[in-house]
Amino acid sequence: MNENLNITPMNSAQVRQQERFDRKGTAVAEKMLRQIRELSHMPETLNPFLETLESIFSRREDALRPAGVPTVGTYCVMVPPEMIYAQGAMPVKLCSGSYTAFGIGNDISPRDACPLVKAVMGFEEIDAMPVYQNCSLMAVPVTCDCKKKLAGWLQKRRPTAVLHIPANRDQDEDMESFVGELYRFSETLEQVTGIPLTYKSLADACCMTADAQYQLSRFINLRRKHPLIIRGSFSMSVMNALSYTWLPDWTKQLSDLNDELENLAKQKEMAVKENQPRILLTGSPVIFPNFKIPLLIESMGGLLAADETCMGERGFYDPPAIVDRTVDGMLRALSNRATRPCTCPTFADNQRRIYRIRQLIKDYRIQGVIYHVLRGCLVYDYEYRQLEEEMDRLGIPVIRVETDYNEEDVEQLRIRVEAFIELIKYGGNRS
Amino acid sequence: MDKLQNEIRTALEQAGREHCGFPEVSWFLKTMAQAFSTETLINEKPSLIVLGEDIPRELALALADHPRFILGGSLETTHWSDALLPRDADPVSRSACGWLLNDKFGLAENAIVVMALSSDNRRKLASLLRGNGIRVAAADMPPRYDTSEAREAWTAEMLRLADTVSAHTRIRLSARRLKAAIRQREQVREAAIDFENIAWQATDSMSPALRDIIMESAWYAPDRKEWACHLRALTAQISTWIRQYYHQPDERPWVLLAGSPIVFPNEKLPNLLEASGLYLADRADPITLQTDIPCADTGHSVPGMLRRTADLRVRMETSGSWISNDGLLSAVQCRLEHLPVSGIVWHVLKGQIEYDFELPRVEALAAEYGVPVIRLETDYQQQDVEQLRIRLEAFAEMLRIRNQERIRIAQ
Repeated sequence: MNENLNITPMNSAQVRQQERFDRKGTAVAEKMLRQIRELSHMPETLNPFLETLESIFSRREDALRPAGVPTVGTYCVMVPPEMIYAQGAMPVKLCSGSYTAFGIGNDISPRDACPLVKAVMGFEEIDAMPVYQNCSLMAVPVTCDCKKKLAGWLQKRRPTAVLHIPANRDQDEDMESFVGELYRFSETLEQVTGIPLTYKSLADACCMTADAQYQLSRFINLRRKHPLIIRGSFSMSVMNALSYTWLPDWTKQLSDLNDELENLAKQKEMAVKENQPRILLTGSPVIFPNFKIPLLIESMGGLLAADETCMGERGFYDPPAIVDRTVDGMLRALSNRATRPCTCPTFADNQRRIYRIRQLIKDYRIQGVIYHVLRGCLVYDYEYRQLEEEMDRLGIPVIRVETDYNEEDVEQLRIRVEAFIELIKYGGNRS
Repeated sequence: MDKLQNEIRTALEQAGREHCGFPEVSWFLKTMAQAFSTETLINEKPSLIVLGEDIPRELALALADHPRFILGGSLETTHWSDALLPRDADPVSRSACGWLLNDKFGLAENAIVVMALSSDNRRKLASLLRGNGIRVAAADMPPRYDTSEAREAWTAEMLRLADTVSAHTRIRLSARRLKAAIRQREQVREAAIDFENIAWQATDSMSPALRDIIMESAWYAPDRKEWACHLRALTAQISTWIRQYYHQPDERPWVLLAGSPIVFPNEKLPNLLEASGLYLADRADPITLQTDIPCADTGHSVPGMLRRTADLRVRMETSGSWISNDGLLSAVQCRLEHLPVSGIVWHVLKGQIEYDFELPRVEALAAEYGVPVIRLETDYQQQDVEQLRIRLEAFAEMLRIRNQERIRIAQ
């Protein structure tokens, strides 16, 4: 943690940036929310999730939580939320999809940095988002070069805990190294919250996440129905809302949504027609308000049946396998959970991502794959070739879509997505 | 293959023309030509290939009798890997991939490839090589260097790496072998430091590109002891030449080239600087700065020596794998203090974003010394040479005016 924080008053450029953010920042979020709400067959119980996104990005409020609980900003799914809850804080995922913050970050970061990191730097620079500004600690796992440099940049401005993610994960030494990182992270958390990590608090937090994961598994089972019972954009909103919601509240909201979806399924009120092309979205994360691709797919007559991104179910689905009921045992289980099943391309060998995608294709009866690459997100770009070869073997068409955080390429993307959907509809699927 | 040979020959011929007739230079040029000749590339089947500069050279020398180092640098090999890597992959990784995966020669046939996973490119390259049937031993690099845990982690990774390589090469990493390798590297280092000091004094003795090629040949020389002897001989020849002849003071603006590494045969930037009327006083990049890193001088056990190496390296290493590349920054500062540098050329190879992130800090540092910085982004292609030349000429013009102004004010 950096103790000598460099906080300076805003200069005129920063004031101008903040004004620009005030004018445009909320407009994009509102537009995306409006587009989501305009999609047909929106379940009523989806509203709390959309309201969470609205309160954070449109009304610019802080994350709702019990009084006196500090927030810890996390920049990757590899930070175990159980530890943060156990030590008396609330995790908020701060990876950002804001176009306006990206524009501001663009001025202060290298041109080729990924838009996600630019947006984070932009938010940090303008000092206008309570969910960012009120964080007592930032936890940055070093998953790529940009995050690595972001960690260094944040360290100079905020209390920041840096977590080294091992590049390999198949050997015990790799796990040992990450367990060590978690112990150090726990010490840093204790400095912030004053609450040590105990067996009871960690067990309670694991139970809390287990409840949420149970509801998520119900939700995933419902998503697998054919035809779809809930649109992909709605599912992505649910998962994005998790980033800013107190976990028991999110669990309750998801339970209500599951109940409604089950009723709809019983009444055969499916969300879409049977013959629409079912598409899997994979690659760089899709983070609200950058819902450009999911909304394009669904507005062009495709079905976003499943997604394999870290802001989707992948980020929360896997439960820790706790066999040793001690603090150390639980930390090891969390460390295993965070890395071993993870399909993040930060790991040198990531064959399991291909297996995971094959499994998703089977479970969700996928007919086409859209590979989303954020400009500058090199690690995902590296894995495209391997996926393309695999999809070729399976006879599933795949396209690579490279985009940025702006709306200028929407029309080009629309043409490509439309052509891809037509390709699937009229015989492109050789499976 | 012909194009590759042509690229190497052109780089060596161009560099070979630009010195004041030192007989010893030809030995270094021959060494480089030999290392990249068709015959060597086809017939050489090393047991150990080291990718990049992050793995300590002494460790590689201790683990195999004749390790082959691959640093990237070649335009032709980047073309060979075009279909294998994404468009935004950095040229160093592209070139390294081309050296190892091609249908012309099989350098990696019997080898284990060793690399440090210091960047996104390296991590994914390791996976790609494994996927193509090449044996790879990769060391995970911690993102911090300022904690004892990070140094322990580095040491543990190197020991793990050594075990994997030993199992392949059948050479056990003993304290004796490591000590011998350290001695070899120290000889190379001492000779290199003496040569650099002399080369700074004699700006008109040889072109900076040639100076860099001579220094880089240490990576490829079959016998490091012999290399050190030849370099001492060359240093002596330059010293004699300095004493014997009158030398006009060099009035060209001196610049420091820092950032992404320049690797043979890609001498585009040093040649361009020369052609634009600038004198390349020194370089500060991860490959050049390896000379600054001292060898572990104490210790009787392998872990002990590696721990000492970790202490020395992590303080001075300038790898992009660190969260904050303070080593590179302090190297730049050291050169600004000791050399009459008028400007800094910050070189960013396309795709090496870690150097782009360091630029604001370098600019802030240079501003303290009143030295302007120009950022040049390029790759191994030759298409941008004219644009770069125009920018560099403008920069040189500006530096000349600044220098004249400074002299006028001083007078």
